[in-house]
Amino acid sequence: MKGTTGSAFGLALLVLILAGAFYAYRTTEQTLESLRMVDHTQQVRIELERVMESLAMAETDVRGFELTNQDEFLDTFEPAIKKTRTSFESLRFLTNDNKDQQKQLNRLEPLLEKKADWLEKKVKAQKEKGAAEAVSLTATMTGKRLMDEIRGIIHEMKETENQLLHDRSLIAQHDSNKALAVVIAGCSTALVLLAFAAWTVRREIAARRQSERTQEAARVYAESIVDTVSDPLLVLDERLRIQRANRSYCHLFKTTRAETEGRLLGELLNGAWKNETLQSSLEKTFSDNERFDDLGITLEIPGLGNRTLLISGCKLYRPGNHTGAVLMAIDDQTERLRMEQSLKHEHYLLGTLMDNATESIYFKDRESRFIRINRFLAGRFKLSDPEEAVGKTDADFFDAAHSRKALEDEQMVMRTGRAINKEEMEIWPDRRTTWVLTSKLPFWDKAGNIAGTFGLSRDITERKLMEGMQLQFRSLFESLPGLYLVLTPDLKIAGASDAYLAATMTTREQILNRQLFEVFPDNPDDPSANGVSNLRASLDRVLKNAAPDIMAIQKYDVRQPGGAFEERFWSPVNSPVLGMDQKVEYIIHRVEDVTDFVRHKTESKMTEGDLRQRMEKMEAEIYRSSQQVQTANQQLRAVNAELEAFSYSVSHDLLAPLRHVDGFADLLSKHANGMLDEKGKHYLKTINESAKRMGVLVDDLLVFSRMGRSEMRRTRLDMNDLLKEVIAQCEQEEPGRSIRWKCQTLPTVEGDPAMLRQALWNLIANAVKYSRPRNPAVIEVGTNENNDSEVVFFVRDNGVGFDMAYIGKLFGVFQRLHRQSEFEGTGIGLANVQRIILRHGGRVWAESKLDEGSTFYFSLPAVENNPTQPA
Amino acid sequence: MTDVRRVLLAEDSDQDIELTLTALDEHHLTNKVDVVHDGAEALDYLYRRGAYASRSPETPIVVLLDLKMPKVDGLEVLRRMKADPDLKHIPVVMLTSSREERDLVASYSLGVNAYVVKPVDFQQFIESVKQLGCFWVLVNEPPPKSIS
Repeated sequence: MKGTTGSAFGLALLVLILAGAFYAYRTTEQTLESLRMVDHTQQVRIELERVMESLAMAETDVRGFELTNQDEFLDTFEPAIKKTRTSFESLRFLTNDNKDQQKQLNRLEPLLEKKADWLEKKVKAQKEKGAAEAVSLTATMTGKRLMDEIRGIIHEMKETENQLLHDRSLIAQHDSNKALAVVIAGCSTALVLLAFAAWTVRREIAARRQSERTQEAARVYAESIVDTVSDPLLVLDERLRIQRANRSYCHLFKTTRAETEGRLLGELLNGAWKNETLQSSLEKTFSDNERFDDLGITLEIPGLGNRTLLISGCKLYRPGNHTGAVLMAIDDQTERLRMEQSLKHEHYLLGTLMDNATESIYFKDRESRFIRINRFLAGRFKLSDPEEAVGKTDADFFDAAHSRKALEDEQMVMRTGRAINKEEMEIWPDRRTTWVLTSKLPFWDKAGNIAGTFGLSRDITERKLMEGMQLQFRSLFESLPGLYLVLTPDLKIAGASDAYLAATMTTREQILNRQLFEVFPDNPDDPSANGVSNLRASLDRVLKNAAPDIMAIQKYDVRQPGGAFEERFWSPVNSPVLGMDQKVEYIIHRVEDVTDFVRHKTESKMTEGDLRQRMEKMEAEIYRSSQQVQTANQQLRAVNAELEAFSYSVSHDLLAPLRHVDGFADLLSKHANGMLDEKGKHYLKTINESAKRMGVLVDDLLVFSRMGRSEMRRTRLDMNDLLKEVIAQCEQEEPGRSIRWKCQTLPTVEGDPAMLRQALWNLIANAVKYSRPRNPAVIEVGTNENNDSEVVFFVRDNGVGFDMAYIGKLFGVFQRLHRQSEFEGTGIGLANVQRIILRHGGRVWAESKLDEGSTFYFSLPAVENNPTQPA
Repeated sequence: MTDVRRVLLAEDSDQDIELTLTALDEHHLTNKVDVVHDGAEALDYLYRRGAYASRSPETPIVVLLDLKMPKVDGLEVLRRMKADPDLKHIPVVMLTSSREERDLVASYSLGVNAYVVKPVDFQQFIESVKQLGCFWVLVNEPPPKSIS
């Protein structure tokens, strides 16, 4: 339903409504007129009735007066006559449009006047001449005739009016029917039109809705296209404000639509999009409707670095928007450029490799024709340009046999897809031979099929020659008649002469690259075997000094293939082989096998001459005793080590249980306090005391042991200072004693301060202890009998002394000459003194008389003599 | 004392542990003592691993180390502690039977803070340990926690 049809319809509708209305109006007017006429007729009839009625009333009044002669009846006579005349006048007025009726009225009027005159004549006659006059007048019938005439005219007029009423009612009925018909027709038309209009409106609305839905679908479709396009897109208005940014845009620039849309291009991404060329191109697109393509710009995007972009723009039109919008498509070239760059770089690297490598590099197709070779290989092929080799095969450069072998190799590489690494002898057409170390590998095309092979080969001709020479030298070395081993600094066997292998009954495979002492251990069945440790010591010296080391004749038990050991006497020399940096690179271990010689000597000495026999005997003796000394030293070291370990463990482990005995006995006595009787307390006390005493014993024994073991530190020391310290300590331990000290000036000596202090302490403490019964005790310290070689010190007391019969026990360990209850002690002090003084190269002795006192002497070497250490 | 830091006693002998705790109890310090039974456990304790992974990160106020212990001995524990910048500030007291010179030398050259020989005499022992506890736990000002 379009505009023109719509308005024509409207107009027709209007005309129809107006015509209807007009016609209805007219019809109604007519109807009203008809009704008025009907009404008018009724009026006329009513007035006719009234004329008759009022005249009848006047006649009635006169008749009443006539009969009764009472004046009261005449009261209403005059008004009734008046009423008759008024109604007549109304009739005149009402019927002035009807000539017939006017004519009737003209007839009626004199009759009405005559009647009225007659009635008045009767009344006047009665009043003047009595009732009989009146009755005679009545008997004339004049009145009755008049009345009948009047009644006849009124009746006629009524009939005429009735006819008129009937006619006019018909007309009015007709008119009102017509008007009703018109109204009904108009209403029906209006209803039809309304229904049509309603239907039309509904159709319009449905059509609009459909159109809106179609538009929305189109919009969603367009939006989804914009977001699906992989190129970043921006839609801008003429002020370069972003109306729309698609998903790719947001993804590429790591932003969101909310951050982008509605903002000016120049504001995006902290102004990264500010670019004059782009701006002017976009403005031109708006003003001149000129599209632009692939405008190259570089933007610095925060967080993404420099991006190289190709921008295209074109104008978009939208209905109702005359300025339109610009669609800007962005093509990010950064990755492609980077790839190109990297490809160029790769190409450059490959070119560099191909041009400069000093190994042969080639690529071949499936038929083993060269696709590409590098400059180095071209040189080997005597070609000036590597391109010349393209399309050729090995057969063009090598002799037939070699080419055939190479072809077979390459076929195999392609068949198996596996690389081949091998040393290859190349035979050239001029029969020259070279050696290469070659790797041949397959390469694949895009579809994953093997497209050919490529290879790398290094010229190892020189190395091959060297190897040949080395092999020669090695075989020379191995054939040397002497017994040689070559050892690495970590004592692995690097080489052995055939003679050595024969002498040791081993093979090269058994011993090469293995540890020397793993291969040649000491004979486990011979506890005196020491070959290994001697040899190790010698090799250590060679490594340490970088100088040859000659060993004494050694007895080795050489393991035979069956596992048994055979006795051999060897005289080994170990010589270092120094490298450029003067470090030991190898050790050459040369052995003179003197087994035959030694055996010969021991077996055949009876057949030799006397002198020689004796000499040999002596030699053998020397050898044996040197071996014995070596053994004794070893045993001594072992014993010392054991002793050390023993006393160390005593010091730790023996004391702990003692401490526990004492501690728990103590705790028990506290815990059981009150429950124990005297005997029980005594037992516990004994346990405590015994434990403590054992502790003291162990401690003293340890000190004693330490004095024998610990290393001596010799310094010059003033014995006077030492003495003062010791006296001070002794007095502190026994306060309240009265002791008279007589100390001479003592000489300076050389010795271990801790040890000598210990010795002096033992002697002075003894003197103090055993002079306890004396008051005052007198203790004298001094020197005498000095000579060039030694200084003699003495400590003398006036104590209880001892019986010289027991002097032999005096310096023994745990030897006591008094009971514990008399004088406490462990019997180790003097043993300590003796041990210390002996270690200093001096002597100890004593003199005593029971109850008179004792004198202890000890000597130390004189300082000037610089004595050697005997320990 | 509001200090929550503990005393670590590393000692393999149950008897010695009992005696040492008895002695420390004279100062009511027993409930501040954590006991481990060998050097390996001591290291686990100090490095908060193994059975001690969940102990509080406070370093002990003093470590009392027996010298001779199974697995890892006291000297080794001492050496490891003094070589570790995080542990070297913790005072270490060797509490041992031995008065062997080489143990003394080794301990002092590794940086031990005190070397106490356990006397056989229990009264003396109690006295030594009491003094030790008194000094290291009650008197000595420990290194600030920031460096220990």
